[in-house]
Amino acid sequence: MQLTSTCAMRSRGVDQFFGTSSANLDSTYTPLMRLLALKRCGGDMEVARSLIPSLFTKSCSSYSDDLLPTIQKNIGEGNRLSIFYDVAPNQALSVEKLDGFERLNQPPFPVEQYLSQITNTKVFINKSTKHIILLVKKYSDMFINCVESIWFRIAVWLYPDNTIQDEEEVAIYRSLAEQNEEAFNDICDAVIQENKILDLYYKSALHGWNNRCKQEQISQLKSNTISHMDTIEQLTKQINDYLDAYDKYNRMLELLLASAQENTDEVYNFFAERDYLTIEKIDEKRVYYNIVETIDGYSEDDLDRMISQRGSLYHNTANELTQKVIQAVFKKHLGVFIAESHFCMTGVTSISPLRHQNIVDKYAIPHPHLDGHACLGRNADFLIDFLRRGEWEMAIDQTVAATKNLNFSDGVVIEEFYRYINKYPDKKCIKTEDGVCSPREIAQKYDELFKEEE
Amino acid sequence: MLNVTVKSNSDRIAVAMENTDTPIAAFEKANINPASSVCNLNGMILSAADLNTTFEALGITDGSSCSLSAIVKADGANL
Repeated sequence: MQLTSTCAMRSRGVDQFFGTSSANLDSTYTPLMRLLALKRCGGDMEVARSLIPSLFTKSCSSYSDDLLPTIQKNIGEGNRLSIFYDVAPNQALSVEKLDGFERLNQPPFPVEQYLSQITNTKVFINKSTKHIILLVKKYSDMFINCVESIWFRIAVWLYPDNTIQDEEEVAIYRSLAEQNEEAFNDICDAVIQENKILDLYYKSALHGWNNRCKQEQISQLKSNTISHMDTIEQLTKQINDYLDAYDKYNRMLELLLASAQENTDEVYNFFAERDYLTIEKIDEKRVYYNIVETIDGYSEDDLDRMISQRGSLYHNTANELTQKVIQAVFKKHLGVFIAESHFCMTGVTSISPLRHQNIVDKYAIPHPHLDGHACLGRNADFLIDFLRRGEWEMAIDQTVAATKNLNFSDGVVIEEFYRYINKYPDKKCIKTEDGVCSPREIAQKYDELFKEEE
Repeated sequence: MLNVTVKSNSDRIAVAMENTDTPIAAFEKANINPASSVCNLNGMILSAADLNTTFEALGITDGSSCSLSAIVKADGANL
């Protein structure tokens, strides 16, 4: 029997209640299942849904071998009504038994024989798991209608005493057996009316709806909040980066605007007047220069602290030669180290120390702070102040001051200095009253003059 | 008479000095303490002894202008 789309059991409200669509169905299977479910669910949507076995059909025309593994796989996948059709006789023979299933081929209700009047059929059911498996030679609308009309003999768990529930159900099966569409539709209308199915659906759907909606909104808003906070953090970082860049460019701009137009030889004259400054190279924007000067600025207190503390670098790192050189130069003042440092001046707005340069002066060692670490220390603050005021000459003089200085309180710098003493033990890099001498020579002189004192 | 521009990290002061005066006197007149600083006169680095040498002896001629600066040696220097 074909049902028209006007059947009440296929209305949108019923579809919503069951949560499935009947739009593409034209057989009576789904309406029948819905009818039975509604009559037995007591208004509980979840119970109604659980009572409806979905119809699974599979053609076996492509199988030439044993069908059993396919059936067992199908059972494992949870299909509760499975119809395997186009089953060949040899395949049907191979499935005589299924574990946990019984065949409906015995009196008083030989279902198989009844259905086989239409096409050869084997029927297996599992009462506990409520699985139904039909092996059918040829599948047709007539066959499925026939199955529907004796559903009370197949889904026997719905009819424990082999009795149909009430007259209405009897009328349902009669309408299917007689292919009486009008009678079937009337029953559908009556059941749906009785159950007020849309009310049931709305009641069920709206129960806790506001809480669910609220939770979803809370969850969504939390997610949005986190997402927006992440974005704010990223943008804040970007803004800070841009502000830093702005400050940098603005400072450079101010310096350039503040600096006088150069129409004299003042830069050349400045370098020419100072024999401790040597220009190494010049390009369009930069002047690279080096400084060779004596290291005569240091803190006696820091030096004494370093020598007196047992765990200091002086005791842990400095070897005998280094210790004697330190004593000779910085405590006994037998000479002063000559150091070389290198700088890059960009326009007259920026000066940076350069690290690990080739030492060009034959009497100099690299300055441990400037050449070793490209670090101006606190001199950088003074240098920047000069540049801000447009006093580039004083800024260069500040790099000279940095070259003449050695910070004994900076362990990293002093370790570098010790390394240089041992790297150049024979280089004449110490200026004395008599000329220049090497670290090894000044250590010998120290030994000669102060051995007894030690 | 000399026009001496005395400069430090924070100040730039013009003072009038005599040719027979010394750089240390110019610093004192400008109220600048040159200790812990690299001092230079027209780019020439001055030793401790130079600070007490007259401008004339340091090559500055009478009636001229010169620049005298004291640049702080930062990072723990006190010599």
